[in-house]
Amino acid sequence: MEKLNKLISTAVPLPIEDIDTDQIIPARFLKAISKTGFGENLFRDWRYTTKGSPISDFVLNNPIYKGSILVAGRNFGCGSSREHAAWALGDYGFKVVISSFFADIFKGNALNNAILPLQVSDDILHQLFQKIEQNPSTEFIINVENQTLTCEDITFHFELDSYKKVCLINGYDDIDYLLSIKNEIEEYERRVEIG
Amino acid sequence: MSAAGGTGYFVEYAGNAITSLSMEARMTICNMSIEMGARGGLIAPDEITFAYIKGREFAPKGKDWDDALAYWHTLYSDQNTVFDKEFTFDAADIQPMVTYGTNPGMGIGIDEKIDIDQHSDSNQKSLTYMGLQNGSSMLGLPIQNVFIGSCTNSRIEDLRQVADFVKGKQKAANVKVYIVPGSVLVSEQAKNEGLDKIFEAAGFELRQPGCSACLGMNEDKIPSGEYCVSTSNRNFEGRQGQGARTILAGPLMAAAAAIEGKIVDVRDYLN
Repeated sequence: MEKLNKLISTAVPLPIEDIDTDQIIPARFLKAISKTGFGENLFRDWRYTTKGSPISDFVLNNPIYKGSILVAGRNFGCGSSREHAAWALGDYGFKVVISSFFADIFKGNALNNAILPLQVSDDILHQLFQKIEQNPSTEFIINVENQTLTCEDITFHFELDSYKKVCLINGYDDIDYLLSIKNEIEEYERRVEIG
Repeated sequence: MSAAGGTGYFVEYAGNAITSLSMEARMTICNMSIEMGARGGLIAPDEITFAYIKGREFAPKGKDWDDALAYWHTLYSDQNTVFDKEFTFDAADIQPMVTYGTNPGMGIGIDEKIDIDQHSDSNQKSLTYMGLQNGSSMLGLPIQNVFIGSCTNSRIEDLRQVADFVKGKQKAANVKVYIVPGSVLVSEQAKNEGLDKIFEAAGFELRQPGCSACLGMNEDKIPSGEYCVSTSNRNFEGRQGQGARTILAGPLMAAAAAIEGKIVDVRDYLN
C-alpha cells in the first residue's frame, strides 16, 4: 500500500449527508476481478447522465475543485459494506476523506486501503466547507504522525487508532504489518515452545 | 434511530413483543440493525430458536444436540447487564412504516405525513429525487412496481404471508410485481407448497432466488422515475436502477400496494 504521512492538498467539497456506498460506487459496477479501475465510476450517477455525459454542476466535474482530500457531510459511507467504495475513492486519487461522522464498516475499509477517514466536529466541518467555498485553493495540511489537520487558522487534533496509524505511515496492510514483526513473532513462538 | 443511530454499537433486541416473534421475523429485525449503522443485531435464543434449528441439515444430532442445547441455554445477557444505550418502544404504537426518502432512516408511520427539516439540503435533495412534497401523506401514492424479496424479507414465512393475502386477488393492471425467494431452498419450499401457483394467478412474476431487484445487479431493475415498493433493506438513490424511486415497506404492505396500484394501509384489508 501507499504510505500516508504528511499531505498538503486542496480539497473537494461534497456537503451532502448520509452519502451511501451505492452513490460512491453503484452496484452495477462491482463485477470486476481486480481492485483497480473503480475510480472511473466513483459517484457515477451524480457525475454522469444516463447517456454518459458529465453533469457540469457536480463537484468532480468542476475544474475549480481538485485535490486528494474529499470533504463530505455527516455519516459518510453508510449502507452496504462493499469494500469497492474505498477502492473507488482511492483509485480516483483521494487519500483522505474528512467528515463529521463515518459509517463504521466504511471506516475500517478505508483504513485497510490507505485512505484516512478523518473525523472532525460538526462545527469544524462547517468551517472547512466555508473556507473552500470562499477560496477553492485553500490548502489543507494533514500530519498523520501528529494526528493534526491544519487549514489556515484551524488546527484540529483527530483521533486515529494507534495500530492503523503505524500501517498508514508505513504503507502496511494487515499482512505487511505482521511480516514487519516476523522476528518478534518467531521469537515468541520459540519462547512458548520452550516454556 | 436514523441511518447512523446505531453506529459503533451491536444491538440486542428484547421484550415480549420480540420474543413472541417467529425466527423469520427476528432475522428481519436483526438484519435491519445494519441500516441504523450498527455492526449487527441479536436476540437471545429461546424455545422458538431451538425448535427452528432442531432437525435441520447441519444442526447437531443426538448427544451433540443435547450438549449444544445446554450451552445455548446459557447465551443470555445477565439480568443486571448495563447497556451503553437503551431505547424502549411500545409495539402497540408502531404502525406499518414506509420510507419517503433515500435512506432507511427517512421513514414514517403510514398515518403520518412527510416532515423533513427544510433547512437541510440533503433532505431537500432526497425529496426532489423521490418526487415527493414535504407535508404530504404517502397514502394513495400511485406506484408502478413492487419488489417482494431480498435477504431482509423473502423467507418462507414472508412468502406464505403474501400468498395468503393475495390468494384469489389480482395485481393492479399497471403494476409490475417481482416476487423473489431469498434462496434456492426457499424457492423449492414455496413451489412444494404451491405458492408459486398463487403468485402466478395474481400476476406476480416469480424470479430467480437471490438479490434480484434489491440492488440492480442483474436484469431485475426498476426503470428511472418509477416508484417501487420494496421489502428490501435499502432505498438509496439508484439502488434498484438508475433513477429508480424506492419505498421500503414490509411484505404485507407491499402485497397490498401490488393489488391496489397505490400505497395503502394494509390494516384496512386484514380481518
